[in-house]
Amino acid sequence: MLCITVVLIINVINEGSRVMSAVITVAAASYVIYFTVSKAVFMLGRIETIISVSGINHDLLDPVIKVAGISICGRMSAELCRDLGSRWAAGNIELLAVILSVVSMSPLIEKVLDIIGSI
Amino acid sequence: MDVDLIFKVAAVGILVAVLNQLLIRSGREEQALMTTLAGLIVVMMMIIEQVNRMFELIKSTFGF
Repeated sequence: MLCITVVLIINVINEGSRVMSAVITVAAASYVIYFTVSKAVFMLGRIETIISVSGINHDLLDPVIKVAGISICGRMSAELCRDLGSRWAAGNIELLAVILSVVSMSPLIEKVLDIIGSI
Repeated sequence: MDVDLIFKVAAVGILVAVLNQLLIRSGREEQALMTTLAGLIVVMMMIIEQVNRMFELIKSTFGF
């Protein structure tokens, strides 16, 4: 409901000042992401509990959670840039997010190669 | 981070948009640009801290 309200406000302001509608878009996007991630904290707490009970090695799951965070930030920033009319910035952000994800996953890849090598 | 922030920003935005149109129609494009610039600075000062808090939360949540 909040997003619909903000979109209506943005369409009204867009006629008078495109800059201000862009800034409202950024403010609204930040609030929605902040609200969503603050709720995700509880979910991650549950996941931590499951991990400790199941005995899975924590080092294996940290990269996965990091990649999830990178993808959230990358997707939000890219869509925001595309929404504000800058497609080249969106493309660069998505490329950087992919590179950072691969870098974050490299410890996991090394572990897998070690396991394969030890067989 | 409150919802009020968005509506405060929207209020400033509506005010700047109206003033912008008013000044443009009365032939004062420079003042209109200055008004938009002033509004942008005010709003950026309002939301910069909230955006920073959002990224801090994301960093702490996803373990960066």
